[in-house]
Amino acid sequence: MIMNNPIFKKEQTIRTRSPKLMILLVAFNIGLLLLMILSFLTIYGVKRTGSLARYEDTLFLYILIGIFEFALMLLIVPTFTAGSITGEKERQTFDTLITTNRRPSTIVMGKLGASVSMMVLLIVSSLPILATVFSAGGVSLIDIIRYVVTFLLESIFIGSIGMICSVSCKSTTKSTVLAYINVLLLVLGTIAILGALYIFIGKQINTEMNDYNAVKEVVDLKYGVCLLLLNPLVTIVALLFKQTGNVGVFNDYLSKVGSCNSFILENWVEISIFLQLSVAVILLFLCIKKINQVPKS
Amino acid sequence: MVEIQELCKKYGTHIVLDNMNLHIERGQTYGLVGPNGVGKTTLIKILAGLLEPEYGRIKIGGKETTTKERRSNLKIGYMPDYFGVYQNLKLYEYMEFYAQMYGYRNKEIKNVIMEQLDLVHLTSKIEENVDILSRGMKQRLCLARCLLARPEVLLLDEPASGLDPRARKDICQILHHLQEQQITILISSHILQDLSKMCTHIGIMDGTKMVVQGPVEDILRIEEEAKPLCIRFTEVNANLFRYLESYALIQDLKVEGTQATMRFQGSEVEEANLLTQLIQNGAGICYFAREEGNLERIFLQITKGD
Repeated sequence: MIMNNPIFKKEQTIRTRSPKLMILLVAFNIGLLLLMILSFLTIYGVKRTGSLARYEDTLFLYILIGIFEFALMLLIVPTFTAGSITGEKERQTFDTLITTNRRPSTIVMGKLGASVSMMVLLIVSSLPILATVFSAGGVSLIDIIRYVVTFLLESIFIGSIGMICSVSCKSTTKSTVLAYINVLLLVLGTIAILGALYIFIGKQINTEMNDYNAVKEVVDLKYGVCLLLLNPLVTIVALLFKQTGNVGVFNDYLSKVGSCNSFILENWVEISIFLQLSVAVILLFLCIKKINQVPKS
Repeated sequence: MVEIQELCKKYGTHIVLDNMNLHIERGQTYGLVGPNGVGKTTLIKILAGLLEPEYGRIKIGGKETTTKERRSNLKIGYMPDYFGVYQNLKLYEYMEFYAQMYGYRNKEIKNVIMEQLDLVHLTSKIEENVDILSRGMKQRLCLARCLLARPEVLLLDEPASGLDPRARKDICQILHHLQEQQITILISSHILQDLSKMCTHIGIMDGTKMVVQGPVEDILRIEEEAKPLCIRFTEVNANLFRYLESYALIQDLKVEGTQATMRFQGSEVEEANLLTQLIQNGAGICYFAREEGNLERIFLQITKGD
């Protein structure tokens, strides 16, 4: 269906002819490659003199590359989507777009689809680098596919944030800045809020009990930790830890902050993706509504 | 075909359109004229469904419409005064994109695109990138884009703005062709000379209202006094001009070089007498005629100007 969207097709045509795409592909993969080489040297290089190599460290490499790639996505997707509607307005092509009989949803989905397809291109181009972990085993093809699917679903979520900023702002610069602020709040802000709460509550208890050790036992943000369900970085970390057999480590970290339901802990990735995509649907619905409004001036 | 009743639009406290009324029949070409900032673009955007008026009724094809209905109504084609194009897109791809946006199926697209490009004489440019086309070609391309949906009403905001005389002539020829197809056209323009040749009806806006509107011939006849008489002499002659100044039937004498323009309030016989007397006084006359009604003059008379 998206393949028949004229906006999607037009965006694909224009982007693939631009040298920026080639530069982005090369830079993206060079960045990953450098990280991979550095990590390999770190893991195996110091053991050149004959000690045993720990193949399980290759799994750590998988986590590192996965997180790094995801972090790049958090930087790239807002740039694509935050300028989608404002760019049309600045180019003075927006009026001619909306006076066709296509619904605003066609415009929104076309723009979002084009941005997500760029991420498909980037992640597929980086698969050979990601697949180096197969040399040591421990990560299966299914795990890679799950990672790619999660990656793309998260890019839809981040893309929807960029889209709502684009319809709300008058210039691409402002919408891009706003999109990055929102992503930053989501990724770091949620952690910072929990951290601040943890410290605040800990201090309160500490002053009452005057026992630092007791604080560690008593501070419990309970379901407050579920705020992290909206954090896409935590979602991808949860997935990578689960795939590499480190789900216990992830659960331990979360449990230190708050005791939430074991069902949520066990299905953290699925629940967080569901929540994030629900938010994305709401944001996209708001985008469509905003575009459908007739301005007063 | 297009009817506006009591339309009002304001930006904040500034009233742009105040109880605007307009009626355009099917097949008419209506020229909208007015000083900069009087609200021509606002009126066209409201008709295209891009701006919400404060109040008023707008009927298209006899049916009252809301702003959103007009925005998605393919019977209305809209060409803005300023428009952009996409980089890295060929002309054919640009038209193909809009044909798809207008809902054409793949097998229909090529024919409808070539038909419109043929109309605007751009078939030879289908492999060129749209962003490197000249201004005139872009205007024609935008017109072709508007016509893809086969509109019954065409709203053109300054279609000839920034074009050289040759390019303006091309646009005029295309619009003449559209007139033959009975498409209702509303054009706003500052190039009054083109409007008076192209339009069947004219509306002159000033302040917040339409001050004069009607068929072009009627508007040109509005000039309250007699059509000005223009005399061009073979050489400058101060005595001659003093003679003209003192002539009883001559008023508002204006002299520029060897040309004198004046309001002559006599009959045709008295006009002939003037000519005879001038020749007998030794004037060398190479031109002696009444000027045709001039839209620019009417516009300047009626409006306060820029």
